[in-house]
Amino acid sequence: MALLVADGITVRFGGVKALDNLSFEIQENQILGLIGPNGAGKTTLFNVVSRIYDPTEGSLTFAGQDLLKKAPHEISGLGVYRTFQNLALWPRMSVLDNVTTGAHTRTGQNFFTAMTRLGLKEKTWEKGLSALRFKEESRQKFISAMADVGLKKEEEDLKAEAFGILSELGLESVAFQPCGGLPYGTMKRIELARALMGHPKLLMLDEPATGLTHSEVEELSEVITRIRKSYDVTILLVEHHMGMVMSISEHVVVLDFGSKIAEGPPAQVQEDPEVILAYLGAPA
Amino acid sequence: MDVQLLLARIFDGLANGSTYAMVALALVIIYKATTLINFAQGEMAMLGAFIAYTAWFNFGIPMWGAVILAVILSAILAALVERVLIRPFDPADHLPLVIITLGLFLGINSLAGLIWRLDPLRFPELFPSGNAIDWGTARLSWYTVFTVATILLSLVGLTLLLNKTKVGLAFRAVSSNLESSQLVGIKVGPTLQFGWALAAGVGTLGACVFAANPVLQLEPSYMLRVLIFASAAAALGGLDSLWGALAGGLAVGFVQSVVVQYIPWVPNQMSLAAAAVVLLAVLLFRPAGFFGTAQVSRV
Amino acid sequence: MAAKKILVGSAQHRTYKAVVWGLALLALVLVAFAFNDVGQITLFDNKYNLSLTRINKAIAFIIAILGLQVIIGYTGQIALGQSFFFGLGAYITAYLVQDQNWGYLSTLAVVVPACFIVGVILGLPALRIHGLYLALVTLAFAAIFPSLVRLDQLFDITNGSNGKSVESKLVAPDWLPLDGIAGVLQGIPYFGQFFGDGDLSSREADRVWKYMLFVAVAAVCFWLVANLVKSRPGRAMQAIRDNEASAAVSGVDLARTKSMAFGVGSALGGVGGTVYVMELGIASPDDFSQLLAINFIVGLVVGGVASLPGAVVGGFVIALIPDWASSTQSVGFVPERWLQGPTGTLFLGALLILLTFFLPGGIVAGGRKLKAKFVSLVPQPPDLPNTPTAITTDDAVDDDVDLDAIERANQVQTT
Repeated sequence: MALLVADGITVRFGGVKALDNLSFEIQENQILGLIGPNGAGKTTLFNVVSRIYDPTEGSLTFAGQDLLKKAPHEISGLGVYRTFQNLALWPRMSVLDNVTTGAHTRTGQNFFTAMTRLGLKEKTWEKGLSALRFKEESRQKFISAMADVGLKKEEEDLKAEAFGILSELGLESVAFQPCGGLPYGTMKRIELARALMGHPKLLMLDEPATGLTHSEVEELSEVITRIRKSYDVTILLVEHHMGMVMSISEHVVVLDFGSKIAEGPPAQVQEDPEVILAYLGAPA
Repeated sequence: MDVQLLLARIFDGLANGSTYAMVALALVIIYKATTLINFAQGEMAMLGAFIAYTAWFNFGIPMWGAVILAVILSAILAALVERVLIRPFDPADHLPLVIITLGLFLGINSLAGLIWRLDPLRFPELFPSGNAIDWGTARLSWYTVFTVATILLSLVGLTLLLNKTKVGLAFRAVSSNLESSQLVGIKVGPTLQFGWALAAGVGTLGACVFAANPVLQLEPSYMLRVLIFASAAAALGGLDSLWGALAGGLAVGFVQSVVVQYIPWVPNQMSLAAAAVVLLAVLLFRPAGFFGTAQVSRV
Repeated sequence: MAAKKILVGSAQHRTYKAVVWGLALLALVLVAFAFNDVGQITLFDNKYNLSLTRINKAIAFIIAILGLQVIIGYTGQIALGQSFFFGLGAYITAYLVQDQNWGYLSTLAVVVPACFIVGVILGLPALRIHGLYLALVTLAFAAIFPSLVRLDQLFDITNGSNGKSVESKLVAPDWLPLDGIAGVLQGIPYFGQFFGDGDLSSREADRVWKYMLFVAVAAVCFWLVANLVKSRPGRAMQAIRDNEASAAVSGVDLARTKSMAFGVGSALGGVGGTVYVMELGIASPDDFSQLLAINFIVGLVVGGVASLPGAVVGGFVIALIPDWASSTQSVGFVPERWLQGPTGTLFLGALLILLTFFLPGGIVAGGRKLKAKFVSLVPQPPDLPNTPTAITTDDAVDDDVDLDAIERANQVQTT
């Protein structure tokens, strides 16, 4: 089933067409690679899906909903998460806090409940209520109603889940350090962890392999394939590293000057003469 | 409608407006060079005026000579400030810069209070006294005429400086695109220093002219209110437009002297508030002001 | 000697916390009685006064600076208008107590919502304006507060330039064993002399009572803000501070979070103003000018931006330095002439600039470095609970989730 459907997307900046009548689909649980020479429009497409840009023409549907009607801060609510080419972490917050904030959309604590700590831990309610000798049944009903209202339980669960994701990506050792100043490769994984924290349906990765060493790229490929399975997520991958894209994508779309020039399984695309022309140019 | 009174108020607006325009000009120069706002601009100008006073009063230097000396000295000081206090910081991170300029604000203000005490002083009258136009209550003093002349001359001088000299060209390049300027070999640091020095000089000139007002006295806090009016003026005219500073200054001066008087429900005490509202409205609805260039940011 | 490592959450940590808070509480009590009258420190022929009055004023400033921690420190919005809300709170309290016979603390029921709402309104520009420009606009607002107070139309409420004095007195309740405590402290060998002589006069008792109330109010404020910072909205605020665009993409509602931050911070400013007028007994327009606004920034920066203890340090600094600077009549080789005048302001201005260069985290940052030499608190990883994401699609086939299966799956993961 198609999760994301782009139909005739055109983006004009003045006289320049950054995207020209682009149509493609991403299937559920698929890893789709988006490649093309520099300036082909890959980041533009990302920004359209993240709703930072509005297309001049075309439609964009996500899980059946019209995505173009949404504002940038609303797409995470639909399950669309992305990482950034240039890293957009919060340097003064700890790694754990950065990742925990990934769950911002799906959690509910507001200023008032946060400040007043309404909603005590389950154990505290238990102790207090048993002291007052209420019936077991009514006690349990009351607790299950109140214990999830407030801060403490939600915070603890969030922190634990975030830590779990960090562990899975090998980041437990830096969990409590401030994010800024950590090695580049580490920060890329933190961004990934943060996106996963949101329980994404569609995960958009913007050149995740940039700046990584050969072995780090291999590790990253393995991580991406692993999380696709364990987090049941669909992945849209923009990448220049051909080895990586071709090895992990099931379907590849190739852009050049804003238009789609080829699409299909990696092996097929690699042989496509248009694609070779776009990247290498014609023989002299 | 009392034409004489209206004219009197217009002349008032001219005088105040020109002062605001001079300080606005200083703010605009720094903004053009660095996209920063110098909170200490008013205080630096005030310091310059005090230096001029001392040169004239304590050292017997003829008044205009004292003013020129003060302009040069404050330019040098400002260049020093830019090099030592401003350059080390990333222009994109505003908080440290706000703090530094606030620190300067406090420091210069108190320093002036320590050196010259807090008793008001009589600044020399730079312009001939008396009135150019004497029509009942509508009096256009020579002071006002010469103040306007000063700012016009300053603007012409600045425009010539920026358009006809090599250093002016460097300034314009840096203000238009910092990175490209570096790439073509322009020494950005000294150019920025030049910008600060220029701004300080203009500010000092403005402060001296303002202090020369026969009605006013020189004391350390006299530029505080002016800074707010000047900021509104700079924003209104466009933070990166020199002639806009003049337009904005005159506009704010007129709002203060004329508009506020004729709107019955706005009391006199609110002219400062009116300026604050103007500042807010401009930054919210037309950040480029009337003559400035709009900023486009790339995501 | 290497720093002693204490694991967060362990018994050692609990002891450590008990000791630290115990000492703090003790210090609070001791201060009340030691400085009830005027305490004096003499340094190089200069007499420096420290009294409960001054400490109470410091507490008012501390609460206001706490508000700035919320807006500037944690949300990164450079808002310089806190003096506006400080003044607003002061005048609201003055009016309600003097003209409407309210109790002092009950006025908080009006001050907090009023300053919150006005704060949200005055914070609206922050949704479109950033950085220096926001600073400029908010400073302009701070500058116009005295003129607002002086408006003829408001004379009945504010009493214009004369300032509004409040005559209602706070009387220490009888049940408070102040004399008892004083007696105990005076009995301490050698140190007893610092705690006064004999029973407390009624004025002194009232002063201690006020101090206790202020500390209680401040404690509540700190508790609220501490909770806020560690929570989801707290993280949202910091995300906005560190990278606004990224925060928006992560789902943070910029407009709502910024507005709430402004509301909370301004409300705290108002509470500070209430405490101020409770201590001073009068609200005058020029007390709440842009100079106070700049002073608050000084307190914020000197104490330490984005740190709650920094607000305490900052509040004391701006309450004491200007006073102590004018008390400094002789410093070694410096001719006397240079010590008369706004030396306090000069010192603060210089301090701001020096700190930005050498200790950007403020005094608290320096304190933390010092503390790190003795004790380091090592955070513990949280226990892993029943994390839904740990389930693979193969496991959760039925609609009724099998709790036991999750348990088992997790056991495997954690080992």
